[in-house]
Amino acid sequence: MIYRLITLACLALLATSCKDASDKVLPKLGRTTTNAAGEEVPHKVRSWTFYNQDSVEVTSASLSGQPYLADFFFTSCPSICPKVTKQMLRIYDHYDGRIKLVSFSIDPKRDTPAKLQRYANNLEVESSKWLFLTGDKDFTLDLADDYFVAAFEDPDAPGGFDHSGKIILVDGDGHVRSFAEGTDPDDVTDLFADIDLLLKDYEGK
Amino acid sequence: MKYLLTSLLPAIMLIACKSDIKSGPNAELYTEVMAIHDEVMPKMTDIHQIKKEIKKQYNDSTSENYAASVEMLGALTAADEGMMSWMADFKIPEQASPEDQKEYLQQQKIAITQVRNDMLSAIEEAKAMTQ
Repeated sequence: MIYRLITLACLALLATSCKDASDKVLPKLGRTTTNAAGEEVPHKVRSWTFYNQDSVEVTSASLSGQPYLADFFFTSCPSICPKVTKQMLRIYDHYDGRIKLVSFSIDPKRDTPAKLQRYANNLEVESSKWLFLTGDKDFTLDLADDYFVAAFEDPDAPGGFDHSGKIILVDGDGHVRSFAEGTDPDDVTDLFADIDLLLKDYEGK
Repeated sequence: MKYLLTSLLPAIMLIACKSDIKSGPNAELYTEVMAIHDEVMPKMTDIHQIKKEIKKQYNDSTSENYAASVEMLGALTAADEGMMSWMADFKIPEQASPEDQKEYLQQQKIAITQVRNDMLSAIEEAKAMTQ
């Protein structure tokens, strides 16, 4: 009898421990606010408009309904940015258009659309899959707050461009869902799992 | 064949002797230059935030401190642009000799140190203005 009970207990334990990994849901990162109706509103990236490497105006609304990855960079960055760009390129090659990449320049004075186009051409990437954007610098740095603030553990910590090279995963509604240290290849590998998870919600729609 | 190899040998030696600045004899100096850059690069965020604060506090063009606030904003912008310009112009002469690379890095160390000082002093003055 005792052996049957032990066997049943082990089977029950096995059943619960084999919970499907796909049950994992990526949280919506960042501070939640409460609206007038008393509902909790998760943090969301503000609307934006920039010019891309093809000198075409791009809005955040054009990305609505699809997840994307974002980073902040500039083409003359001598240290961190090349490492992050290398990881972004790795993501680009792996997903081959299944998820868009968006890189915001914080040096619009030098990173004109033409300069960004040369930069993109050197990487041999297509604008339909990877946007390099340039616009007002002050607005861009404020926008960085929306992306990076979710990546800081302390919700009261000042956000903004921290030059750490974070790569941010955003869902189709503008919510930050995950991030990785773009200078750490292992961290980016871990991000792949979150990207795959989020893409499942959108592919087939 | 022997003559072909002999004629190519100097070129091969030149390519082989190309100095990798991050691992060659100037690696330490290169690291020092980048360390100063990495120290102040995040201050760009501080400059951005404090410019916003100054604009917020000194938005009345008729006030006596308005002119000083405009001057302060100019100094902050110049300090920020100093860093961006330095980065845009920083190009390691990959084909140069180690001695020439050393001279280049020494010049860049002086330049980035000035950028650092300009940024830090502008931020310090601006913070005093907003307190």
